[in-house]
Amino acid sequence: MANEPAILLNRLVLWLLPVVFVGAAGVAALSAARAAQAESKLDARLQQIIAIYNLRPLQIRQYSADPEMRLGQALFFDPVVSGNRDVSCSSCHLLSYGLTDGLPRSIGVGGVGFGPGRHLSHGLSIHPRRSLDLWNRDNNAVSSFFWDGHVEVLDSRKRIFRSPMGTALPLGFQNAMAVQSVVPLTVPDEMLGTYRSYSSPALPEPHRNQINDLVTQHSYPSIASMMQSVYQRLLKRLLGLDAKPYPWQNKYRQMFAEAYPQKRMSQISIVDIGNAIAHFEEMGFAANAAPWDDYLGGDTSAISREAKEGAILFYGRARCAVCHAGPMFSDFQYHSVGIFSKITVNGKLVNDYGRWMVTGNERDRYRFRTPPLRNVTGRPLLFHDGSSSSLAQAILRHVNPLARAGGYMPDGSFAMDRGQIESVSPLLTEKLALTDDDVEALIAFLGTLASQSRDKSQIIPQRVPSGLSFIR
Amino acid sequence: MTFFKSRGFQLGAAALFGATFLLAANLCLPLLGRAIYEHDFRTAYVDCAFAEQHTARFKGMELKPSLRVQLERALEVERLRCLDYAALNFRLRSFHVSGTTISLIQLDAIAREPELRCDAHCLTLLQ
Repeated sequence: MANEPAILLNRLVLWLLPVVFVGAAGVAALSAARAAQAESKLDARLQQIIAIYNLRPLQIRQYSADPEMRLGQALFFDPVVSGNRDVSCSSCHLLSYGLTDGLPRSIGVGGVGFGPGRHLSHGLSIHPRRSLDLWNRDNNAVSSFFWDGHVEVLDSRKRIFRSPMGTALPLGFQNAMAVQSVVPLTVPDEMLGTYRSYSSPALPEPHRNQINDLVTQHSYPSIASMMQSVYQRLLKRLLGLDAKPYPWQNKYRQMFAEAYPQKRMSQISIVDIGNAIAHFEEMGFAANAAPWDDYLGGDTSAISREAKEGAILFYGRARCAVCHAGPMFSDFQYHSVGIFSKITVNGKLVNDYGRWMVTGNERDRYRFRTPPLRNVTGRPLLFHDGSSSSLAQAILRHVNPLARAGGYMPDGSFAMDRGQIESVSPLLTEKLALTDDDVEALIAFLGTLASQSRDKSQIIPQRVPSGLSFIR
Repeated sequence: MTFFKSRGFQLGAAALFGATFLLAANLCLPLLGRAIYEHDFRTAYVDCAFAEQHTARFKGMELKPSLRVQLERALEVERLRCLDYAALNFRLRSFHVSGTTISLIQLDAIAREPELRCDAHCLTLLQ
């Protein structure tokens, strides 16, 4: 009799255990089913969005290494193309920093070191803007280059391009990327350097202590005449047209002859240099399909649930896709998002008026080109002045572009003057409520735009013809 | 004791139990529906109201044609939440949640969103 309650309890437990077990399994199955249902709802919503925007996976052209690509690769990495033989394209476009240099404002001529550690040792001022990445710039959607579009496609069928050379731009450039690739060669604080400057005595022979022969006078009658002169001088330097060529110049002669067998050496022009560099960039910096492209291709498991929520926000409520449109996530148009225009150049605060400096149109003041977002997660800094160091910060600045408009600059002036405040895109001044979770979801989505290009060993050469060391 | 064991009593008791269960289930149904769907309904309703508000605000904005096309697409995507709202509204009603209760939920949801002005387009959602 004394054991009766214990026996009853044991029986109860024996009966209850399976019930509890079945109940727990049921709850787990129910929550899993709910999660799966929620995920399928997200997929269904994304299918609607894909239909509305007519989204397609990024088309990537396949290239093989040909002589023109190898020539372009050499020209891209070789510092010999710069005035003082110390800066190459790769100085500001490093694979390790998302094809930028990780600096808020790039340092070309006079820079020492690489990446975010690069600093100015002597000479010219820091370039006023951050270096842009070069991913997939051969895509047909890419219609303009640089932050202010000073190189852009005016007529793609007739291959007419805007460039600082204006109507003096020679014919024959394959695309705007080819035009773009030769512009930094003529910018004093990027690659050109100054009149009567010399290369470093630390460089190997025959490059040390050489006068900057690309710049032959203090000033030129026009930008176009300066650019023409620099290009002619550069060809003479590369091909050794004035005297007996050095072995490294013979190497370039051979590479040009292989790349353009139909041309005599005297017919080689800056157009060929531009086309070769652009061809290398097309091949070397063609990012493969990103997870988002896989998703668009039908693989619903290619991106996470959070990224799917981010995509819905990106194309919907957050209105990111209004400007970050198309396969490159840029409309390649110009907008003011309220980034402070004042920058310090040679110790003085000056305004960077963006697109206005190209067009002279008052409506373009403070406007900059929408940056493409592919591989954006690999960029250490964002915006044209590198003023945001995280995606979260950059997103929140879009949400409230005038938040810091009333602040002061070091000279006591307002951070944003009335003109700049009025220039801010009305799409951004319409208040947008994003929670922390929304921002996280957007970042997760942007992460799905990341993809790798081909193997580094295929992109970065072991050595360059000039024998100079270069930034990899 | 024989009365309690009679078939008539057992049938009556079963019918009474069944009726009580049905009554309780009917009374609890709206509560169950709200427990399952109210949170999603609230967010869908607020998102939809915001979408309508944004559509109204951007309507007269002067924009480049290409930008206008993209904006219309974004607004269309945002308004897809109104389909969710309609679906959840139907679900709540299928759980016998009354129209008055749904309106009260909507009014409460709006009251918690200071950015959401309940103007003409918003009020149409309440009807």
